[in-house]
Amino acid sequence: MSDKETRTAPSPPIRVVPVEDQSFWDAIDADNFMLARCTCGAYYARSQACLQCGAGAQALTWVPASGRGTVRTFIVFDKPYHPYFKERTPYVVAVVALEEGPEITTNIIDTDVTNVEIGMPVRVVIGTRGVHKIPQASARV
Amino acid sequence: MKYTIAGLGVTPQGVIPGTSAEKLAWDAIELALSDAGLKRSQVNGYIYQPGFGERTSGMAASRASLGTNSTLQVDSSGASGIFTLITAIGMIASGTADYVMCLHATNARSQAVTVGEGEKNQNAIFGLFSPGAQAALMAQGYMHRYGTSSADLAEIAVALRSNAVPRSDAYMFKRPITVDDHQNSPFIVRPLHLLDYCLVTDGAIAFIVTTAERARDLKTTPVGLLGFGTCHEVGQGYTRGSNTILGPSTLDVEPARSRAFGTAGLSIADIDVFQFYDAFTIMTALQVEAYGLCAPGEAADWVRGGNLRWDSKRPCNTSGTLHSWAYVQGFTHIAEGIRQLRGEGGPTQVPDARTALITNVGITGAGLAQSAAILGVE
Repeated sequence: MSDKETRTAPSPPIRVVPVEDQSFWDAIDADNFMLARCTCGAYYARSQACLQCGAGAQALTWVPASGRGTVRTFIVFDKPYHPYFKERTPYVVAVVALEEGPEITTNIIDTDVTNVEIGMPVRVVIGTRGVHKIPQASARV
Repeated sequence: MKYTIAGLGVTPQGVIPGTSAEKLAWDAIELALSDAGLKRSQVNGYIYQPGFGERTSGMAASRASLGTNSTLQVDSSGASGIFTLITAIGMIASGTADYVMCLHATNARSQAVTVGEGEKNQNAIFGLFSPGAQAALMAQGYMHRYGTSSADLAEIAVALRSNAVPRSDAYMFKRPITVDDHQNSPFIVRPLHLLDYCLVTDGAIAFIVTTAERARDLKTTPVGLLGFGTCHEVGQGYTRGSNTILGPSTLDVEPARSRAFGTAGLSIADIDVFQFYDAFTIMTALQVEAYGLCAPGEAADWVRGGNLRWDSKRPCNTSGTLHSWAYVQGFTHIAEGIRQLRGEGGPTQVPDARTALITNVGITGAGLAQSAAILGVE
């Protein structure tokens, strides 16, 4: 890459990793999608106290997840709110309801933005954003 | 009626270049002091909500030489206005203050702020930025659930605008819009168009809270703080362990609704004028449904039938509020509620308004915050 390209290519936003969720992101970096399962059977996409049985976060264990889910709601960004996305609009941000119960905020990929619908099945894949890996939802199930 | 608002200061609103948020704050403080006929040294509590654009601080209180025992910041995003009133009552009830100045000031318009731009949070890596995007997630779910169209939501924007058109103090004075105008306005975050969004303007609003007993010695008509309720389900959106704050297509207003009416000893049928938080059209739709003014999913038809107007059977958002009057977050709705109850609503005054329901909604880092207040005059 020339110096000029280095200067003009905007970096993606910072990937904010709360220390409580380091395990989730370590797994993503190793191409694994995990969820936190409580001893009572409830699942979460982050570290937290259990809303179902009231156990503290220590009752949760990170386990491999199916990655199967459906689109609960979604939006299309035409306007970039960050320089990195300027050349990447339009793109979809969705709330995906996973088979195990939790919802995640992610992108819908592998389809045109006009094809995305509420209720459509998706599959979590590990995508990249700059130097970072992130979980995304592919329309190719 | 134990506590009251006994002073109101509203600066000009709109595009006010060459000023600062602190200066606007100071102006509103001076107006509120003058409205109440109160000595600056008597005001011994100061609460402010920081805004978009330049952040305000305690400096305006210092420049206004208030006699503050305490200066504090309250921030629950759009829900903050009512929270400053609740906090003021707590200060007075605890004996730490007698007269509390509540304030919000913003110069986001002149600072050319794009709300949400470059946010550094957990959503940023996915390209999810701005409160408007969170509202758009709710709107998409709502539209899917009820078969509502964007042109349906446009009815809300048109009605809110129509309330501001007669008001010379409104930013959108004499500037009506149509459903076509809404549909032709650009998408910001699909499915929301520009005209689904509220304004961003410069301006400030201040209130003085005190006891009903002390208010008797002041020169304004005191407006009673009859009841409050709040709702902040921090698990909302996160409920299923999500990293998103919203998404559902319904809005649960309990316990904000039941506590506000319960503490006031009133029911919705007793309310003469409503000021619903209107940062986005979808938020207004969800609230008029959740508070029972119309059935779930029927907000657009209800508005199309002539409601949400200042002169409708149940008058709402009588100044055009955030969509068309000015963006002073939750203070906007409280100020208009005070004006209606004092008979100062000008061309959109609701005859004999004695009670008002005010709602504020905040899209916060931990879910949707709601606050509700019932104000009244004797």
